[in-house]
Amino acid sequence: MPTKPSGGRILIVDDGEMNRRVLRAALERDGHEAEQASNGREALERLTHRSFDVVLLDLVMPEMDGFATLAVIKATEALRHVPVIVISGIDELDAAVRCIELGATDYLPKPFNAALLHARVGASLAGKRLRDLELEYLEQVESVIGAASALEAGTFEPRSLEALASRSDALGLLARTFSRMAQELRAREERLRAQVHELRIEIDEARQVRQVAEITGSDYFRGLRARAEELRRAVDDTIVE
Amino acid sequence: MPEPLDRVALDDLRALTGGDPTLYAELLDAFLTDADQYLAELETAPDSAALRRAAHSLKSNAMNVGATSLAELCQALEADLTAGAVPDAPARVDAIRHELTAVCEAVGREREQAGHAD
Repeated sequence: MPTKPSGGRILIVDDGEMNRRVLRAALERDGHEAEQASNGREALERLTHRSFDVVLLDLVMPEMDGFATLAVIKATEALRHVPVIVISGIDELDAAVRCIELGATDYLPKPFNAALLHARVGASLAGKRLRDLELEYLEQVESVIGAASALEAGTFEPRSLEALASRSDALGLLARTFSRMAQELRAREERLRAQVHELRIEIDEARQVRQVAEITGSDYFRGLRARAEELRRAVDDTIVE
Repeated sequence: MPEPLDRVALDDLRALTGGDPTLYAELLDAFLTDADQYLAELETAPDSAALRRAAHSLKSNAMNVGATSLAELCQALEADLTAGAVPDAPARVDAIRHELTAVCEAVGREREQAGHAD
């Protein structure tokens, strides 16, 4: 059975205290965390300092209205993917349609209806979470690609894929398989290196034996050995006498 | 004289609080606080844009409590201001103030009942 997703962080942007309170009460009852701003400028300030899952945006506000706020959100790389639900009266449908054309996700009519608010925020939140998951997935795919490059460059660290390998999905399986193969490859390289090292030692020893044989087989060495033998015998004779 | 608040809208508002009487009372208090502010803005608006914004905001709150007549007065003023100049704006603001007084009294009574239910 799928678990119920936890609530999101919602930013309510409305100049009316009553509207903000109504929305906040309903959102908190649905398990969301709600913050408030009373105009677009304040909303952008909050969005800059904290991440939000959904923005509920009133259109008619002093200082900076909903249209201008939406335009800034959609023009800002870090904010453009945050779902924006515009709040509009039933007599402002044209404005809501214009906002959706500008990138708003949906609209919420006033006066508010609890079921509609629940459904629209829930749908936007689900869309945001799906996108967040896709982004995270892409980042992790990139980390596997990075690991492959590191393996080619000889700088691969098996621990770099540990977190990814703990996933239970196909990407986790890929990371585990990649790590295992990379470790096997490294172990094989080390075995080969050790064998090459041993071969070098054997070659060196054989070379030394050959050099010794060359020296001991030479006429000069044989002459020296005969001379040494004569000297030893002379010494022995001297001791006997 | 018709009742200034629509019971269905008030029930919808109560539903948004999950039936919490304290929260419901707070929302009605917020209506009264906003009403004072928006009326002041209507009476002192320096230009038609500010007047239109105040009419819009008061209309929105009026709909929240089912104050249909008040919402219609505000909506008409907002629409006319969007279309162009409104020479009788002061008289229209007077009419809004008159209706708002009745609405605030009704909201006050509703607030009292909500307080007793707490």
